[in-house]
Amino acid sequence: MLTRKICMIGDFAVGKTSLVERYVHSTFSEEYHTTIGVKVDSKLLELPSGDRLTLVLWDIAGTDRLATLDANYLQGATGYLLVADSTRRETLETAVGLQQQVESRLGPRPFVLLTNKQDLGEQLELNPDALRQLDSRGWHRVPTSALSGEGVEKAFAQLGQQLLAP
Amino acid sequence: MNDESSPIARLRDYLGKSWEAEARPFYLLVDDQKRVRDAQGQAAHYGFSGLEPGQALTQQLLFLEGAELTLGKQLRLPILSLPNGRYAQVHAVRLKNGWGLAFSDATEQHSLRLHHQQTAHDLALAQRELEQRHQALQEAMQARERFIARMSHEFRTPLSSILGYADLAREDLDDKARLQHDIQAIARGANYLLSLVDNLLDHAVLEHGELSLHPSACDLQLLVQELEQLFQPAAAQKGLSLAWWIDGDIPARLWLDETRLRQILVNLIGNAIKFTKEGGITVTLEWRQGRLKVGVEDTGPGIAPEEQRQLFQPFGRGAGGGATSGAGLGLSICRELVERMEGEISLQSRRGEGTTVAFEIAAPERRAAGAARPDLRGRKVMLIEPDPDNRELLRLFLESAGARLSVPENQNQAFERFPSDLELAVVGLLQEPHHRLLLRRFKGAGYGGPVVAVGTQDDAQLQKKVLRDGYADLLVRPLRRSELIERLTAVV
Repeated sequence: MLTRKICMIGDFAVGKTSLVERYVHSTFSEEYHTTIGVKVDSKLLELPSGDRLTLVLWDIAGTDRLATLDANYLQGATGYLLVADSTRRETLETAVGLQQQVESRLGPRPFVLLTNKQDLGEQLELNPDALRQLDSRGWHRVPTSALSGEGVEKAFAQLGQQLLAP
Repeated sequence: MNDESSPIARLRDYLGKSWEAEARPFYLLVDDQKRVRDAQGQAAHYGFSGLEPGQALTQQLLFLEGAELTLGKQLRLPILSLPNGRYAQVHAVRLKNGWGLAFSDATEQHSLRLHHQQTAHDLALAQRELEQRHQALQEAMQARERFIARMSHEFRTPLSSILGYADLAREDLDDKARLQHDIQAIARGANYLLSLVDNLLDHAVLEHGELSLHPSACDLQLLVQELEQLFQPAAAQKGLSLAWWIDGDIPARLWLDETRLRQILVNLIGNAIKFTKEGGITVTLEWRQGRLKVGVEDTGPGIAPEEQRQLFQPFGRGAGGGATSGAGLGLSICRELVERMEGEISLQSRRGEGTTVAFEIAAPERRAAGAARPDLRGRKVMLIEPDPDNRELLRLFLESAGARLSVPENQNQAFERFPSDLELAVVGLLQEPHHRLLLRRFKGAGYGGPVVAVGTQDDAQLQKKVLRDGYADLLVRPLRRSELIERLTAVV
């Protein structure tokens, strides 16, 4: 069985822990608990191709600069989920900055951008032009809601497919 | 030195035990498949209970996945959240045939970090909010600077015209036709300045306080004549026609705030002339069941739908307004005034086909006891106004209405020779408490008739206060002759 370490990367309070909770345990809590250090979970991913892959998910404390993140947390990651809060424009800018920093530290690795909190429809404020620009750069982007579950399975599956791509 | 009973050895043992009690160390050796080779320490604290040699710990040691370390290299996780809810500091070292791990309790580090992170998070949020406010403030300051620059330009244009024509008027004193032309130009400039100041003040009043209406009997025909005289030269200068369609059913007198209606019409007609390059402007006035309907139609360039929405907002000028004059307040004030006059205003426009602004206000018919123009014929009126120019203007207005005037130069002179047959006093509004003291002096002189104040501040609260103090009315400058006489007649 293949096993791959992936990291959840993103600004404070964008919903990284909630996404893992939704994906691994199918639960959601309205309460906000800031993550300290790291929490490691795993989930077996079965792809439509029939491939099976164990994802080891590193839920890392939110940050807006990778310099503040312990290098050990990223070591050995084969891919990552980059998370932005759709109701806070600046978290997308943070995600873009973090992606560059992760890439410079780990080299090119598969990743998927999750624009989370889609359930807060009226408050969405990500700049459509900025998103289109990321699309045009070939970024994989999945709108998600840890609350409703929208897009969560899809985002992890998409990363899993990228991890197994030749 | 190596004596186990020496003080230093006892100290070491003591501190070692103390550290162990706090750190709860747990040591673990596993092979490459994460199977237990040996373990020592407080395993249960970290969720490793009942360990047996050979037992696979793949799930508990997930964090080793992907850690491709070379021999002797360490993986250090300062705070690892464990499935049993505890927090551990983990050191993992790569060995020849597996891993060596040391766990120690990180509850205190977790608490400290949590506190630190929450503080940092709060600070970051506060900083972002500050940055946003800073940016909003900068934008507001830039808008203010642009506004002041625009206003300086707006004021300079009519002021230059007034000063220029005043110079010309001095030279043209012997040529009546030219002098009249100069005076008309000065009046146009002054009227434009007045409308600018009115708009700015009204905008401030509407934003921060209450704007009061002063309804009086309004002769619409006279108002139209006045506006015709005001705008015809400007229209003619641009080769535009200015036509009026006036419903024959409009009563001779309507009860409304004439100054405000004039202000709305000056704004709308002024805009229409300003933006129209050819063709003309048509103003229609209709009256039905106590409501006056007005339309101002032009053959100008029209306004795009997306700009139309902004036009009734303060400083919301359309793209077409970028190069032309004006504060961008006119339509927003018109909307406010119309709404206060129990009405509605609307705009219809298509690119290339012109614009029509239409509004409707409450305007009940005023049936006067006599249809004759109000006047003060034979009335004894005292005028106390400290400013000589304003005093002279009011004197001319009152004289032309037939009043018998007493115009002292100051208060003392007024009460030294107080006319016993006084029927009305008109006074420039004084600051508190002098305006009340003045009323007392009138009473002291045996006068119990109406005293009307003339001020410069149009404020509903001030109006109420002045009336409560005992004045019969408060009139606000600039005053038109007709309004002055109408209001004074009403109190005599």
